[in-house]
Amino acid sequence: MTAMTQETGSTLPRAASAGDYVQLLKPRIMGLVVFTALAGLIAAQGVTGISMNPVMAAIAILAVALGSGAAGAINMWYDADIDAVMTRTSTRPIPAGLIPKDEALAMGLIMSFVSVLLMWLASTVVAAILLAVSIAYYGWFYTMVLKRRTAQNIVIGGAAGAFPPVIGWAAVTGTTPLDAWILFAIIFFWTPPHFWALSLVAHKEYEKAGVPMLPVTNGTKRTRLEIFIYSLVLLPVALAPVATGLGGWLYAVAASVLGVVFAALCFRIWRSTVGDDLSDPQARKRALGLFAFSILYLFVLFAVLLVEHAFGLHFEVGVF
Amino acid sequence: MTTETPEIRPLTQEERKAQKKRNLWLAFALLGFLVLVFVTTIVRIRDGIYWRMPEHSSDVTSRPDPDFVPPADTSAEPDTVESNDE
Repeated sequence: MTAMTQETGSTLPRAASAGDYVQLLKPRIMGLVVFTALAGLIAAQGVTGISMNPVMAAIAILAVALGSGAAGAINMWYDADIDAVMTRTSTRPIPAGLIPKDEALAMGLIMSFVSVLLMWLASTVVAAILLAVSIAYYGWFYTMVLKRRTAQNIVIGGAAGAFPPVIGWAAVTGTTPLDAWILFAIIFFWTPPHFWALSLVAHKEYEKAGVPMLPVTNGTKRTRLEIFIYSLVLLPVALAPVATGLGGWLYAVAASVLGVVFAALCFRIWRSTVGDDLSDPQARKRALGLFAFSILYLFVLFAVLLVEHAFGLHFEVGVF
Repeated sequence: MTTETPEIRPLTQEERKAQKKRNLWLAFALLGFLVLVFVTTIVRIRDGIYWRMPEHSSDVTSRPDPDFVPPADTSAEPDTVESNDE
C-alpha cells in the first residue's frame, strides 16, 4: 500500500513528500473552484438576504476544496498512462513513480466521501448532492467516458468545473435558482476557449497520448474558429447577471470590458496561424497569453460579483 | 500448488522518516475531520436553540432554514384567549 514497502525490484525514486500528495489534488484548479464557490455563496446571501453561519460557510467551502481535490486524485489515478506520455504531465506524482496508483485512488475515494459528508453536515442536502454529482461528473464521466472518446470532451466535461458556484448558492439557500445556473453557464462557455488555447500549443502531445482533443481531430484552424465563436457566446452570457439583478454596475462594467478584450484576443487567435507551427515562439506566446488572460477574466468577473455583494457595493443597473 | 512469498526489502532511514511524517499528517487529517464534525454539530445545536427562542422566531430572513416553523408559545394562551361563549 505505501510507497515504502515495495517488493524487490520495484523501488520508487524517492520517498513521496506531503507536497507530492498536494500535487495529486491539482491545487491550481482547486483554487479557482474554491473561489467561484465562494462567490456563489456570497452572492446567494446578498440576493436572498439569508445569512449563513460563517463557521458553516467556511466548512462548506472546505468541503468544495476537498471534493475538487478528490476528483483531481481520481483523474490522476485513471490518466496515469497518458500523463506518462505527455511531457507537461510526466512529472506528476504517479507517472513520476512517487505515489502508487492504488494509493491515489484510495485517497480520491475517501476524500470524496468526506467532502460530501462535511457539505451535508455544514449546509444543505442539495449542496451535498450537487457536490457528489460534480465529483462523479469529473472523476468518472469526463475522465473515464468523455476524455478519450470525443473531441467535445472539454465542452461537455466543462460542466464539472461549472458546478462550484451552484454548490455555493445551494449551500446557503438549499435551492438552485436561475441566477445560480447563470454563473454555471459563464464557466461552462468559458472552459472551451480557455482549454483549447492551451491545447493549440500542446496538440502534438495529445496526439501522442491518443487523446482526441479538437486540434487533433479537427485541426488547428477549426479550433481557432471555435475559440472565437465561444468567446462571442460568452459575451452575452457573462452579462446575463446584469439583466437578472445579480450583477450591479461594477459587474456590468467589468463583464463588458473583459468580455470585449477576451473576444478581441480570441479574434486575433482566429485570424492567426497559432498551432500550425509549434516551433514559432511568437505563436506560442500568443496562445499562452490567451490562456493566461482567460484565467484572469474568470477570476476578475467572480471577484467583482463577490465584492459587490460582500461589501454593499451592489447597485442594480435596472435593465428591466 | 506453491505460492511464492514476495521478498520485502527493509526501509531505508530516509524512507522510514518519510513514512513517519506521512502517518503524522494522516493523524492530523483524521483529527481535523473529527473537529469539523464536532464543530458543525455544536453550531447546529446552538442555532436550533437560538431560533426556537420566541424573540428570534419571527426573523425569517436570517434563519438557516426559512421553512422552519417555530413551535407555538403555549404558555401565554390561558391569559390571552377570550371566550365568545355567552
